[in-house]
Amino acid sequence: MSSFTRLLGFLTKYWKGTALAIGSTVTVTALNLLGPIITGRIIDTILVSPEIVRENYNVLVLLSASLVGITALTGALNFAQRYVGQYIGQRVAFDIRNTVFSALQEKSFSFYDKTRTGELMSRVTGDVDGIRMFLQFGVRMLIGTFLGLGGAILMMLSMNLQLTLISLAIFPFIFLISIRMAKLIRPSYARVRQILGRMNTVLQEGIVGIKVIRVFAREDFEIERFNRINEEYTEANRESIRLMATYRPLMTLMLSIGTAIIYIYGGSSVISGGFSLGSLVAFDLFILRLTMPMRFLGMAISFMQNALVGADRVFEIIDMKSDVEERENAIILPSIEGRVSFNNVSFEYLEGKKVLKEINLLIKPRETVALVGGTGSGKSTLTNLIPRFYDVSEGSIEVDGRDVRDVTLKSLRGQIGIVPQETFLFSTTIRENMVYGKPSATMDEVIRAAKMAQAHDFIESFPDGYNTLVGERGVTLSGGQKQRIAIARAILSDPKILIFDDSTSSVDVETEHEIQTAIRNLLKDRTTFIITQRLSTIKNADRIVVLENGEIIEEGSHEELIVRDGVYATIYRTQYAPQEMLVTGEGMGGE
Amino acid sequence: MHRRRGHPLTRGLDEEKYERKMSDRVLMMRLFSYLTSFKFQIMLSIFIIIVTTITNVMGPLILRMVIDVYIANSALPSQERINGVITLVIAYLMIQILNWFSSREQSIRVNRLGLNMIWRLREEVFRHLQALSLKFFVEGETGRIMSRVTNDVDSIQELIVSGLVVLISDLATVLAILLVMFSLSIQLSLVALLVVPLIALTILAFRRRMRAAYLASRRKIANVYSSLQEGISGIRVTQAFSRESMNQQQFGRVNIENLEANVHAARITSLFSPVIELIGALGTSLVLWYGGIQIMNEAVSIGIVVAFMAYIRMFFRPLMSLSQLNTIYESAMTGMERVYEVLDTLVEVKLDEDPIPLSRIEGRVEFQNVKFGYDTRIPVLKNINLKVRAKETIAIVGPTGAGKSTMVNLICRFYDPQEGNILIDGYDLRSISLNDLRKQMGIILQDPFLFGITVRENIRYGKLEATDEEIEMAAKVIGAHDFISHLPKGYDTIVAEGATNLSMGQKQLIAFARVLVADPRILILDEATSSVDPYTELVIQRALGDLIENRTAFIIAHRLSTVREANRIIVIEGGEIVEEGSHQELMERNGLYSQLYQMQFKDIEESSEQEVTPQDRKKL
Repeated sequence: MSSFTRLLGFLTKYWKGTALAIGSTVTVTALNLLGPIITGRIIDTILVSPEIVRENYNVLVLLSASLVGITALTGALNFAQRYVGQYIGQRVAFDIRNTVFSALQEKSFSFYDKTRTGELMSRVTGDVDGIRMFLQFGVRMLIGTFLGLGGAILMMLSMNLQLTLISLAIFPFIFLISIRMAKLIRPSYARVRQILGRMNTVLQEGIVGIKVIRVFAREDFEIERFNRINEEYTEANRESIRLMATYRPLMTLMLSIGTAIIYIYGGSSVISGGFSLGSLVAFDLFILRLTMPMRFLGMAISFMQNALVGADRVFEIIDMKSDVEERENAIILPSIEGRVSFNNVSFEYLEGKKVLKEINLLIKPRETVALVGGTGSGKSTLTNLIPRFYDVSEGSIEVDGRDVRDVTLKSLRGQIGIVPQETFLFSTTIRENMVYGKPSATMDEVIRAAKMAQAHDFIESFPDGYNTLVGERGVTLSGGQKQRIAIARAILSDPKILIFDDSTSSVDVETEHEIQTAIRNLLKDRTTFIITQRLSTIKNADRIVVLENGEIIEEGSHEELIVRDGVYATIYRTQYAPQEMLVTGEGMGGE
Repeated sequence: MHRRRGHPLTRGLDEEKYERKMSDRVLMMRLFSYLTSFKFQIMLSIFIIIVTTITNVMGPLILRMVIDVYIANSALPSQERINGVITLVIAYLMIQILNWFSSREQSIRVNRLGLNMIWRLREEVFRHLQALSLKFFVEGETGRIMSRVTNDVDSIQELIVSGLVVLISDLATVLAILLVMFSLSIQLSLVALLVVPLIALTILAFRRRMRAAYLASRRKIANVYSSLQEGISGIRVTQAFSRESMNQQQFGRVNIENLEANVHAARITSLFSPVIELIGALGTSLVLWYGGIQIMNEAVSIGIVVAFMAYIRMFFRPLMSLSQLNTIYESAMTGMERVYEVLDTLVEVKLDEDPIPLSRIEGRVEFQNVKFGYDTRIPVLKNINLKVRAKETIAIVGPTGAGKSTMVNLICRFYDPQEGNILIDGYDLRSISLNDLRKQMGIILQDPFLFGITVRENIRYGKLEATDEEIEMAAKVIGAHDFISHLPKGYDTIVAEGATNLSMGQKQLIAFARVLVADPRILILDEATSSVDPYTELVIQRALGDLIENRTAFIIAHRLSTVREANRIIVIEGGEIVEEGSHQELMERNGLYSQLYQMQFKDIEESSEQEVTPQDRKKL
């Protein structure tokens, strides 16, 4: 189905309004045809010579007044036409925005890995706007044009067949010009938009990465980079303008040719006596009436092009298949105990590159599993698979014996808690952020969770307490504070399975203690997968899983692995033991 | 640690409460100052505008002549009349062709000037942003700054491109028409112009309401956009907590508010044109009626009446489009003011007019009685005195907020001290070329920022002239070469936005390579290993020895195990250096450092309770 047809689909909801708008447009167009006729009549019957004017003075006044009356009527219909048009345009934009937003919410992580925020924003804003503009103005213009054209031609034909035919000779040219213009302008607009998207990205980096730029003294380099794309953007704009500047006035020229023809042929007819001056003027007025629609035709076509480009891009997002989809007959996962098993799981982000290879794990309820491994060993990936942020390439993951692909996403994720590596807080109050996973939580529950997360104290230290605004428009929290709120959030939703990515231990020594306590409280009574560097947490874990290159190379409790004297033991000795030696007094002073 | 809400510069620029302070004239003058170098183009454009206007206006005049002199004139013989008509009409056509050509040129040239202006404006804003002190960025919100440079400049562009040509040519046309009308018949002109006051009143009456409605709708759409942005940025959290439907509802709410605001505005704007058209029709009727009277009195010819009708149409059209420019104008003015607020933000770190160029430095750093606070009333560093020898490794430790990162910010001259001096190789930091200095400094932050370019290009960022071999060498030294080679496209893999296709450890290793390639004389590690996993930390620590060799290095770390290797450890508390010395010296002293060190391993001690022997247990 083409984008155009789908756009029309959005309109069918508002068929009453659309009918009203179209009806008004039709009537207005018809009424507009009366103007030239009345004027022509006036000129013919009244203005030809002084005497005749004197005789028909009353008629003159009457006809002049009627001109005003018709315009008033036209005006009322015009209002209806415009207002309804705008209304529909806004409503369709509203509908599309809702649809796109909801589509975006469902897209999988891999979609977001591949797209840039700036690009997505550009689509939902600029592209939807293009569609709205078309519906608001373009439709009206298109209909008005064609009807106006048709009506005027009919009138002209009834006045003088030959003159009409001759003056219509220009219209095929006008038509061709319109088409050509449309064919060139659409890609030109698309190009402008595309470059704008790139420019915004460069801009964003120049702002977000300012410290790096400053540190490496690369301001000139960045300015150069920005200038290059600024230049490109300006050039693309120039090109669009050049196209419009060439084709729009061409229409007017064509109509002047029409006027010329009318005056020569019609003038001769008036002189030789077959045609009245008034009719000539009326004829010219008709051609003029055709100018407006013609001009609008050009604009309407460009609106339409814009809208279609926009629609293409918007529908592209809506249609994009999500990697992770819920099965038709997915069942609701009942309240779980927290058993997790990985059965021969393999995973590749891209073709051929296996990030996880044949992972087999059987986790009992309430077990704490610490995942340890170097960069790129697959720890995060492993945990991302459990809530189905990505799907396994081979093998299966089961929760309480059920394949995660067989259950609804909501019931699955609702029972899994996540404390991510980098805490993202929404621009709302601390409390709102905390109850994100359980909106029905009472204030008591909130405070209890905050206390367990060792966050209550610092929250209370703010003047607004739990109602303090955070995020982009609010206070800036330190990393440790954000993490504790995230922990509180997770505690509040009380999941049976918890995934905790604690790789960012960006806190100072004092808060370290509080976080330790918070984590201990968090890990109680649930199955936890934790990625961390905190030695105490690792040592206390029920099981340590060591990953390397996507494979499990060692598995066991801390004591077992030390005895085994393998990879884990080596890291432990080189990283942590020296610190331990100091505390216990061995080796101190002898260095 | 928390700061007051909002950023001093953005507080006043809140979409909700923005009030204009700069006058329109001042703003326009500043904008047009970009054009001073285009004087010839401007002259040419003016000339073309004059040609276009004249050709616009002449059309009806010629046709009027056609009617009066030949068509309506039964005095002349038919053939002569017909010939006359043909000649004049051909002249008319010539003029129209000229008109097409010149209006095309007009449109292109004037728009080109406009685009140049905008291009310059954008460039200047970006350049200025690069020069502004970090304070602006630390506190300012990225989204708003982006909005200044994109949306606001765009609204200015819209005014220029869709407004400027129309405005100039319409004004010129209106003037020319008035001239011609009065020359044809003063009385008829006066009658025709009777409706102008009516139009002016209508425009004024509508203008205020339209502006208010427009601003309201702009505010609402801003809310829609920011809700959208959050929905996109926070998608992982949303999906993790299955909040899709609630988010949808929230979005729906702002979306509806936007709809309502726009529909309200639509009601007002839709009324506007029909009213104006009505008044226009009134004008035409008046001309016809009064024209008739004048013909009765043999004061004017019919050709003149017909010409007048044409001119009225040509007259009112510009007036209408001028009034539609209003909203574009308003938003452009607001945009302009906001952009200029950014441009006018003073650069806090003022560069010396004539900085001393710096050749390869030894790396001596000295703090002399340095006092500094981000807020001048609240000092973070109170009285810092420190002499660092070349190639010395200094570790800076202390509680949060003590001033560790601040010291380092000052060395990089991201800020200037309020009192005291910082010297590099004996030169005051404020007198040397910042560019030269920064090229010899390297800094690794806790949170590595990588650009959306290839890994290779990211590393090359440290030294633009670096060869591929140098880049790979740097990667090998730091231990990043392995994992980079295993990426899908190796060194040519593009780093995704927000670097989501790399782990924190991998990003940090690339950041290290970037610094290594630059081969700095002064190296600063600000919590460089706080965010990485033990493996990566091990990798980095192995390379650390090589890293700090032959350079002056400042290490700030929470994990005191990293800090032990330093030549000297500085302990900062409350903005002052309270302890100074090597690791052993400080442990023996049993002061703050020793306390911090032992506190850090209390947890390990607690967890190693398992390893307490049975005998010890009996003792407890």
